[in-house]
Amino acid sequence: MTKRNIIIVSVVAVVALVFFAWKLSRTAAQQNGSDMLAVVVEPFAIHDGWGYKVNVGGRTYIYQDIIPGVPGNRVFRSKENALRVGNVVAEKLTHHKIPSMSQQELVRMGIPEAE
Amino acid sequence: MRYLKGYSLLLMASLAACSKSSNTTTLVGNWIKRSEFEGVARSSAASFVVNDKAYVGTGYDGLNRLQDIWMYDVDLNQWTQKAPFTGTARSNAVGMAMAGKGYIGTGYDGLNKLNDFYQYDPVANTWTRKADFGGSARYGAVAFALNDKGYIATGYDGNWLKDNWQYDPATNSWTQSQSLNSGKRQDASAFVINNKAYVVMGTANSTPVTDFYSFDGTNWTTLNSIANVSDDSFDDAYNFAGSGAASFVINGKGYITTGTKGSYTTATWEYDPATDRWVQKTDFEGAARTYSTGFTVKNRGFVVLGQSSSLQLDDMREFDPNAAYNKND
Repeated sequence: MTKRNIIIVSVVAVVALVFFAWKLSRTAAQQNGSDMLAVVVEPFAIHDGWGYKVNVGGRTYIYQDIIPGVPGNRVFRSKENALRVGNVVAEKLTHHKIPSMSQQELVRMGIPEAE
Repeated sequence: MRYLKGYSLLLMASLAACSKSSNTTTLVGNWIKRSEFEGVARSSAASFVVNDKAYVGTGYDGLNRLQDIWMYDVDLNQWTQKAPFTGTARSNAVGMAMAGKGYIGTGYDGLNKLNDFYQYDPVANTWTRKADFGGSARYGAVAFALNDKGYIATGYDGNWLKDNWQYDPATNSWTQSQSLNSGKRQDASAFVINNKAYVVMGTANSTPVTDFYSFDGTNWTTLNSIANVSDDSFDDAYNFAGSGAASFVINGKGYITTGTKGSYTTATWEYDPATDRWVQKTDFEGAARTYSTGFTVKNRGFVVLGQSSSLQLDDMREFDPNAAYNKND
């Protein structure tokens, strides 16, 4: 009984150890950017409105202080709208698409300030 | 019972491990492999620099011609998507800047060679169509500006070309200017040093063009060919004739890098207009490529994007002319 318990406990310990080691290495990869890059959207307030940054691997890759893909220097009316569009851009980046937005896409998403 | 206890413990542990790893899996949408990160990747983009910001747009993504325009801030190493180009999506267009405005025109939409021409206002972030290019519709031309007048020269309209046209933004009109002495070509490179434009490289009939000229706004001057043709030794090593190269200027010297020379190349050469001599520099450190975009901002040289076989590239490299050239590199 004790012998079997010891085996079970050590198996569990090994599984847990491997899992944490893997997780740690993954966190390290995020920090030193060796293999996987984190893609994070960060809305920010600007000119009585909102813009967003898309950070890739810890540095800002896209800095969008105006609404993308439309003429003029417009800003998003709300943090939510900036975040929604930023998330679509981030999704394009992670799906190997050019991270550009068109006016039609923005209108279809219900971003009235892009019309 | 004790078996049950033991197995259930094991089961719980593995379940916990599974649920944790599937939690991590849901994060995959927010992660991307460094090697698979493509960003704004494309080739054959047009570019211009206004107020120390580079604007890069249009181009080809391997499937479609593009209309989007991105501003690149060299100090922050960040991209901002701007108002889309209002002409039809295209590749192999040309761009230049004069009097605080950017311009993009000519190019190829996948079916047609183009001669339309547009102005970008970086303050208003808007595009306006201007007078159509005066020459034939074409792609693979070069463009440059001298004294706030724009020029579009060479290219391919079904034939290889050496004509040269001047755009005056004050009158919104095109005038035919002096053609290159000879050396019809497409996919050449141009750079401007001290108000003289240098046009080099390019291809015609699948053959690299070695004729090399400068233009002062009125006349073309024939410079030493970029081939080993003289009896002197200075050109013995000149082996870089090719096309689709990126160019930029640092400290009064011109640079060409990457492009196609039989195959994709990383070779980088420096031109000194004072001596009319080329010197090989450190190879471009990224993947060998063609149809990259080169630009000069604040006396610094940059190479972005490009195409390597079927892969469209996104990376941005700054060139340091003082890095030692290593033949074995």
